Formats: sequence, structure tokens, C-alpha cells
Amino acid sequence: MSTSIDIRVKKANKIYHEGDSITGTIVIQTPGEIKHEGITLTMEGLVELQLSPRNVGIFEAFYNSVKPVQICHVVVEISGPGKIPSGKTDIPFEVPLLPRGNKTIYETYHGVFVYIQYTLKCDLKRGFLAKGLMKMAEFIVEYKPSNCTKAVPKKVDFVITPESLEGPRDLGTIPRFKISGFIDSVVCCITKPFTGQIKIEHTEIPIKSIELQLVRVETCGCAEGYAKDVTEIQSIQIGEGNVATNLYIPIYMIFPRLFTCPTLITTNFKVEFEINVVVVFENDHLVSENFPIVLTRA
Amino acid sequence: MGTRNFEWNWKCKSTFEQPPIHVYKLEQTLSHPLKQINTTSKLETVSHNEKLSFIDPLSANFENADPLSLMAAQEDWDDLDLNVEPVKAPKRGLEMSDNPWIEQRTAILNKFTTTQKLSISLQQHQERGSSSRDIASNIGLKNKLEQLDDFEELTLRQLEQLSQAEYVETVNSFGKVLVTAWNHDFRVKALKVAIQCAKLLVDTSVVQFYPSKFVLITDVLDMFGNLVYERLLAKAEYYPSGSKIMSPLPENFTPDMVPESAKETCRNWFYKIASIRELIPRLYVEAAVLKSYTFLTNSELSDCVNRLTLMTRGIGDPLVAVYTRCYLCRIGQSVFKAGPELIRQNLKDFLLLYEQLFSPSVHHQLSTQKVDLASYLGTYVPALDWMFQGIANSDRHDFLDELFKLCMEKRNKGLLLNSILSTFKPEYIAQKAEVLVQQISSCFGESFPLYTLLKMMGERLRGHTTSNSNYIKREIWKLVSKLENEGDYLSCVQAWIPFIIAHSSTSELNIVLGDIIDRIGSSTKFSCAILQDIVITVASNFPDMDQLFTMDKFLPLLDVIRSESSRAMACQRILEIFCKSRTAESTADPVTTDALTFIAKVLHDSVNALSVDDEKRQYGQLISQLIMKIDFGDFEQQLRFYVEARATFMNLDAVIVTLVHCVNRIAVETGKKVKSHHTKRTAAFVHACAAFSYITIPSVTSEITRLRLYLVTAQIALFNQSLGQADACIASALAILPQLPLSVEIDGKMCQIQPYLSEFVKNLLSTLIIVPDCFEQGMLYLTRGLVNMLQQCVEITGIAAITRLYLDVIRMLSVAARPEYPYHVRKVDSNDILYGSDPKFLTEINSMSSILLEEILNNLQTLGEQKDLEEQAAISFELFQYVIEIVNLESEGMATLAYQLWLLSHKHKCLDKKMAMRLLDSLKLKLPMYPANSAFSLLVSKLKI
Repeated sequence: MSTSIDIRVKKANKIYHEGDSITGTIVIQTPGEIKHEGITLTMEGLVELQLSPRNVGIFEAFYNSVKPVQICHVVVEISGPGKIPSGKTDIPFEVPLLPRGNKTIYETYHGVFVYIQYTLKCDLKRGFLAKGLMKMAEFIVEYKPSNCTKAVPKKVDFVITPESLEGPRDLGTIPRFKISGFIDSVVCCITKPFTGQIKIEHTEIPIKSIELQLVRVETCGCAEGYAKDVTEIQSIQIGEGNVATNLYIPIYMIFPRLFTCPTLITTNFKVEFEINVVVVFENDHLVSENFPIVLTRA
Repeated sequence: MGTRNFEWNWKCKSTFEQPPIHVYKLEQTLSHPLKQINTTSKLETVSHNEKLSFIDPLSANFENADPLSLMAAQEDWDDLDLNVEPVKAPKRGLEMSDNPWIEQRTAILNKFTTTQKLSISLQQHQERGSSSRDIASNIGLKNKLEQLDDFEELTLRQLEQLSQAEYVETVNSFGKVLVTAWNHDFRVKALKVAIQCAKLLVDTSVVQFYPSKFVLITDVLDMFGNLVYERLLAKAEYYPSGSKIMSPLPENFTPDMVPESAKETCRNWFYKIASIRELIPRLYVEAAVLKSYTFLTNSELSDCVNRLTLMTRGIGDPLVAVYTRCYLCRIGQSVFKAGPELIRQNLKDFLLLYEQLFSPSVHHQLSTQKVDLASYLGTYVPALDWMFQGIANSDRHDFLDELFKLCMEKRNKGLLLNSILSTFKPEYIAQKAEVLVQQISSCFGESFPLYTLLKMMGERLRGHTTSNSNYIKREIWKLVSKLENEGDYLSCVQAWIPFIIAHSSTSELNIVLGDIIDRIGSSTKFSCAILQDIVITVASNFPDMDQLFTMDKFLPLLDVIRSESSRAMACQRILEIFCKSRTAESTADPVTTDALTFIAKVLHDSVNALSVDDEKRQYGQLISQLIMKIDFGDFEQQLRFYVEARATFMNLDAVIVTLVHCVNRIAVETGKKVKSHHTKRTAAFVHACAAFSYITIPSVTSEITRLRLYLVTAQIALFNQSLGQADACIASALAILPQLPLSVEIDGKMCQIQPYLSEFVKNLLSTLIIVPDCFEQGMLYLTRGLVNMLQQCVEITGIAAITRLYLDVIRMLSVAARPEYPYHVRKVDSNDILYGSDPKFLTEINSMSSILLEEILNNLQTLGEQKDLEEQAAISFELFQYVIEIVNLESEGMATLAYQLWLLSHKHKCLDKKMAMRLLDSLKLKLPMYPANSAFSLLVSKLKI
């Protein structure tokens, strides 16, 4: 067994708010006594922006033209140079979660082109020749619900008919159907499910499936312009097979953690979300209705 | 011992003493002496502790170790080898409250089977959705995804053309994979397997198998749910207030006791499940782990189930939907004791969409699968029944009424009616009978088989009364008559006949029976068993047999049963009912007796060469009981009946024997009535009786029975002063003796004939004492005949037994020599009066005795030669006792004989010493009664052991 370092934060869910102090222990396990030149703990929050090859060309994308933005950065010295006895050693630590300079703290978000991540990094320096030990651990940052504006419910009704469809279409070949329903609110608290109801009023061709698609809309803006990308986060089926007509079917989706965050609009980048209600007919034709939504923490 | 002639001389010639007649005081007793003693103690305990219900003494002792019930208890676990895994007895698992489901479960597995080929397709649909997560890979997730890849390789192949057994095997193997994965900490893999399993429920390609598939797969899902729950429970150790030691959660924990880490794990599970792409797997898996919600919250459980219930609306296939609802309700009940509200909600939703079942798309599906609508609807029955049951078992009568009303409003309501009929309480059905009948009649011609409804209703109404029974009866009969298939028709009749019997007059019932005969009289394709059951039900529901036979259609109905064995069975049951119903009474009604005789004749005629002995015995017993129950009161008519019966039941020995006894009984009754003063008429009658017996007995097969019957008949003839008949009977009996077989079968066991023969001979001898000699035949000719016949029996019983019987004859002769016999038959002069101790008669007796004695001594010698020393000793000792007791020792040679017998019996030391000692002691006690120089005293003084 070699020497190992582990960072254990106190909260089981690893969720912290701005202004919290992150407490925990650094656990070092070693078979024999080791000498070290000091242990430091670095707390860092980064926003990484990546340009989609579609928008800026492969070359720029490859070189990652946008530099990561450091939101916060705190270094704490855990211990000066010294010795660690053999066995297990717990060293408690405490790091304040505060923004760096005039930056703001955003929520953790794992997207495709926008990536907001907070990490704790522990470094054990071991002199000039020996290799130092390093350990990284992610923790999650969320806004304090009490500091956020409450989601104001905004109900949206919708009706999908051949006539309401956008884009190129030939009404002669599209089967007749009418699908109606409503979304309880397009301004949603991220911890609450997305709800609504949908009703197939009539359809000529049997329905194969009804799905809810959650997509993220990531916009990276920079000096050269901006890039907007739409990618799917998840798709949830709410109707399977030829569902009954004239019966409200619940629309229900839980927002996945990490992959969603409150709608974020900054000067450099934007993270927005949309939901598509997709109805697939038996002949694999599909119609969908798009709902831009606003996510909030409270 | 030399061959000397001994003169036999009775000692008690003059000094005959009347033996004291012991009259025992008779006491009436209430308890049977053979009854088990412990029964009484049982009764005591019952009286002490009156709450105690009756304990069956037979089963009480076995209660703890009844292997069958143990097996039955075991069965739940055994029938699926899935259960041989660690979570066999979950501490707080799902099994606790769904016992009714377990029954249902087994029933489904037995009922819904298929011979068609099944397929399992395991495409990974939801990979599409999770693609983004791959991009967002972090180190922990990567490992888990790698695990998943292994599993995908394992199962991505399509499994097609599986037989049912293979399918079951595959699903079970999923269960095993799941458990193994779980135990190796591959929790995500376990979840994947659960999802895969749940996904199989989307496929309705073999409709008939769907219910069984549902059962198999929900078993796996339940297992998964328990695994998750158990693991969270193990994780959720907490510090009880004031304590610093971690301890497991108490039985009824609240969410705030659960530590944050366990809650977090639990939340993770639900987030994971919420992102399952497909609807049906998501619903099932969430339902399966629903119990774990108790770690997070208490209040939202029911909301959660209600949400799932609503989500079920999204399932297009009504069959899939109804089973999903069934699962939700089951989970709801077992997890948080959901009341009937949940089921009500689900059923309401189901009824909203009821029309779906008859939609063109379903028709299309069925036609491609070549399944008819009736059997398709049949697959709904278990799920619906289970949910209806939940409502019916609750106390919510308003729900019941609401549900009833909703169901009645539907078209094609056969399926719903079926569930109502099969699950609602019979009282409720009885109360609503009228409406139900109307509704059933409105289902005529619809897809759900009408006869099922009719049958179900009939069965449920059994033993219940309804308000308007005449109307119901009429309507039902109308409907039943409309049924085209005879099998359906009969099964409905079978179900309804108790109701019809209970609510109609005999004549009405007669008409109904007539209908049945008309309906099926001509056809041959129907189950005789059902008809048989109908007949038996009719018979058993009649308190009075006489009434039963006033219906002229009853016996013809019996004729309609084509199968011999069924008919015989029906007859047997009717006779049993008759024999049981009136144990004490007897009948004289000519219609009843005719009918019963007819029925008995059917039974009798069904006996053939192939019949088993036991069957014959049973029939014989039944018919005998029947014969004994028929009593006209008039002896002559009774005798005529017996004569007819003899002609009818020729083949059953048991019946013949009974008839002989019956006739003998009336002969005795007659004799008693006239107090042995027979008039010409009664004398003729008892002669006739004796003649009946005399000519009937030879047709009995068993020799020993024949012997006994002859003897009894002879005794009764003697009692009735029919001396000629008595003689004839005894003579016939004697003629049988040499033909006796070596062994007889008594109660199914082969026995030596010898004890039966001795018994008979002894009995005969005691009769012979009082049988007067016939002047044409010479003195004691019957006794002599017996001795002659016994000589021919040596082959059969062996020499020792015959010798003993000779001893008995000597004994009898000793009585015959008395001037007055110990007993007489009234009005019959026995030999004591006929001869009046005539010296000639006595000489005859003495000479016979001498011959016998000689014979015995010869036999003793033969025994000695055959080295049968024990028998020799025993017989000689017995003879010694006789001689001492009944012979005049003063006569010449007798004392010597006695002494020699004594020596012989002790010669080979084979005799029991104690017995000899005791005899000697008693003899010595008698010494003072004799003069010192008498032969007796001299003999006794010589005796030594």
C-alpha cells in the first residue's frame, strides 16, 4: 500500500453556498512515516467555455480559444513542513467559499460548451526529489434559495394542430390531429418537477410515443461574436403506444442534478433551457412544441 | 398307550345339579367402552376454557409437525428458485401485507400458460438520453459505465423462439444476475437489469402469457426494491437521542432520524430512476423502490403513488396499463397501507378507458395473434379481480356502490360483471341480484362468455337468499336456456341448481329437470361428471326423499347420464344421502322404494367382472343399508319385497346375506308376535321364510358365511318350531364342511379356516343339544353326521384341531346325557323330553363317546408320531381334565386312563407347569368330598408333576 490522500468534506451531499466555509478533513494514509515540505489546500472555481466546432471552426475550437475564467481561488496552508506518522492521519481544514475580486459565484453546471466546476485540491510537497502527492475533489455550489427570486408560476396553454406547425410543410400529406394541453409553469424551481398535462383530442394516425425532451441552450459570446448551441440533456417518455384520446396525461419531469442549473445569463456566456413536447406517430413522423423555460433556485 | 377299549360312563347321571344361572345386573351406559380415554379429558378442558374452539383429537397432536401444511407453507418459497438468495426473509420487506397477492400469483402462473414461442428483446434504448453524460464524464462515473458495458455485451443479443419454460428460466436468471450484481456492489448494473426486466412488460406479443409474465417480472422487481431498501436501511444507522453508539433504525423510524448520507444515497436512486427514458420501466422501477421513500419523507408517499397512477394514463396498451395499475395498488398497499382510495382511483381511470379494450387497434392486434376476444378479455381477469377484491374487502360501501354504478354504465360490461361477481361479497350480490340479472342478460351476444357470468353468479349466490327470487330464477333460466353449447349450459345449470331448488316448488323443479333432459337427452357430447353433480345436488338438497321421487323427471335425468361409471357414482351418492339422512327412520312409500330399488339396481348392474372388490363391498353395504331401511310394516309384503330384491341383486353377496338376515328377522318377529303359538297362517309364513333362506343361502360364495347363515336359519327355524327346516339347514351346513377351503379372506386378509371352523362347530354343537331327533333318522343322527364330516375335515384343519373338536363333541354329548337340558326352545321338545333318559339313548351316547375317545387316543398317538409333542401334551391334558370332571372314575379303566393321560401330558415336559400345579391344587381341595378309598382319591394321590 502506498501513501494516499483523500479529501472528505463534512456535508454528505457536498453542496455549499456562497459565504459558507467548507469544512472537512484531509485523510492521509501511509504505511510508513513520511517527511513533507508542507501541505496546501486549494479551492478553485472555474468557468470553462468551449467553442463548438460548428460555429467557430475546428482550428479555434481545438485551441480552446476562450480561456477558463477563475471565479474563486483560495489557498490554505494545512501544515508546514513536517512529518506524517505511519497509519491514518486526519487533518481538519476550513476554507471560505468566496468569490475572487469582482467575480460572481455561479452554480455548478456540467454542460457541453459551458462547464462550471468547483474543486478542492490538496497538495503534499515532498522535497526536491520525491514526487508530491495530489488529490482533487469536486464539490457542488448552489445558490442559497433564500437569496434567489422566487419562481413566479406562469401557465402556458398549447394546442398542436397541422396548421400550428412551423417550417416547411404540406398540409395535404400531414394527418389530421389535435393535441392540446398546458404547462403548469414555464418558470420553474429547479428542485421541483416540471409538470403539466397533455391531451390527444383526436388523431388520424395512432400515436407511438409522447416524449419530453429537455435541452440546454448554451451561448458563448466573445470578441469575435457569439456561438449558440442546442443539445439534449435528457428525454423522458410520458406516453407509450397508442394512448387514449381525450384524457389528460400528466407531463412530469425531474430536472437532473449537475446537468441543469438556474438559467444563467452573463456577459460572456448564457445557459438557458428549453423543453420540447414531442409526439411521435406510428409512421415515425413527429411533431413537437417548444417551450423555453426559466429555471430558478427557489 | 395300548389300544384298549374304555367304557364311557357319565358320572353325573343322577347327581346332576342345575348350574347356577348368573343374571348380571344391567346398567345403562352413556360412554362407549372402546372410546378413547383421552377424549373425556379433552372434553373437560373444553368446558374449563370455553373460548377454546373444538380441537380435533386426531390432528391436535400433529399440529406442530403436519408435513403437508409445512409443505404448503414452504411452497411459496419453493415454487420459484429465485428466492434462494440473501433477501429471503426481508425484515421489513414487501411480503408482509400482500398475502392475497401470493394466492393470486400462484393462480396466475398456473392459468396463463402458452405453447407459443416468446422472445426477449434487449435493445438499449435509453443510451440516447445518457449520451451527454458520457461527455460529462468524471472519474467515478467512468468506472460505472465500464461495468455497464459488460452487461450490455451479455444481453444485447436478441432472445427469440423461447418456449415458456425457457422464458421463465431466462427471467429467473435475470433475477440471479441482479442479485449477483448487487452483491458485488455493481448497483448500477443491478438497476439496469431491473430496467431490462420491466421493459419486457411492454411487449404483449403473446397475450395469453402476459399475466404470468407480469408475475415473473414483478417478482424480480420486488426483489430489487427490497435490495435497495435493505441496503439503505443498513446504511442508515443513527445515534439515538442521548446515545453515542450507532444503532440501526427502529421499526417505525421517521425521516428526521435518517442520517444525511443515507438520504443522499436514497435521493440518488430516485434521480437515477427519474431519468429512465422509457415510461413503463420508469413506472415499474419507481414503484418497486417506492418503499425507500420512507427514508426521505412520510407525507409524499401517497402523492407519489397518485402521481404514478396518473402517469399510467400514458400507457397506450390497455392490458399493460391494467397490470401496471395492479402493481401500483399492490405496492401502495404493502408500502404504506394505502386504503381503497388508491384502487378506486385506478379503477376509475381504467373504466374511463374501458372502451379501449374494444378498439380497432386491439382487434387488429388480436387478429394478428389469432386470439379471440374472449380469451383476450380473460387475461384482464386476474388484475381486475385483484383490484376489485381490494375494494370489496374494504369497508367503504360508498366506493362499492360507486364502482358498481360505473361498471353498469359501460357497454361490453361482461368483463366487469365477472369481476364484480367473483369478488364482491355474496351478500352484496344477493342484494343487487335483480340488477345483476338484468345486466347479465344485456351482455347476451357480447364477447365475454355469458355462461361464465351465469355460472359465477350461481356459484356466488349459493346459500344466499335474494329478495325477488322468483323473478331471478325465471330470468336466469331464460338466459341459461339460450346458451348454445351444451357444456356451458350444463355448467350453468350446475351452478344454479341449488338456488333453483331453494326457491321453487317440487313441480317447478320437475319442469326444470324436464328441460335439462330435453336439452341434452339427444346429445352425447357433454361431461357426465357435471350431470352427475347436478343429480347429486338435487338429491342432497331434498330434505325428504319421498318428495324427490314424486318428480317424474328425476329418474329419467339419471338415465341421461351416459357413462356407466358416472351414473353408478350418482346412484351411489343418492343412496348414501338416503342412508345418511334418515338413520333411524324407515320408509314404506311405494314410489320411493321403487325409485330407490331402481337406483340400487343401476348400481348393482354396474358391477362387472372388472369391478374392484372394494367397490363391490361398498355397493353391497349401501344396498344392504337401503334394504334394511325399507319397512312396509306388513310381513308378507316385506317378504315379497325381499324376494324381488333377491332377484334384482343377485350379484352382490353382501346383499344376499343381508336379505337372509332380514327374512330371518321377520321370521323371528312373527314368532315373537304370536308368542310361539303359531296359527296355521303364521306357521306357513315362517316356513316360507325358512324356505326363502334355505334356497337363498347356496348362492353365497363364501363357504364360511354360508355355514353361519345355515346355522342361524336353523336356529330361527327351531325357534319357530319348523323342525324339518332346521334339520335340513343343519344337514346342508354339514355337507359344506368337507368342501371348506384351507383359508378364507376376512376383511381383505387371508386367514386360516381353522378358528372359524371351530367357532362354527362349537356353535352348532350347542344348537344340536336342543335339536330333537327325527324319528325316521335314528338317535342323534345330526351329531353323528357332524362327527363323520369332521373326520373328512382332517385334511383341511390338521389333526390337532379336529381332535380338539372331538373333545367338544364329547362335551356336548355329556350334556345330551343329562336328564334335563340346561336350555330349551319354547314349544319344542328336545331329546331330554323325547327320550326321558332312556337307557337305550344313554347307551347310544356312551357308545358314541367311546368311539370318539378311541379316535382321540389314536390321534394323540399320531400326533406323537408326528413329533407334534406340544399339541399332544396339551390335548391329553385337556382330555385328562374332561375325564376327571365328567367321567365316572369308578367305572372300569377310567382311572387308569386318566392316570395315563396325566403321564402322557407330562411325558415330554411340554406342558405349562404352573397350569398343572394349579389343577392339582384344585383337585386336592376336592379330596375331602370323596371317600378315602374312592378311585378319585387314589388317582389324585398318584398324580405328580
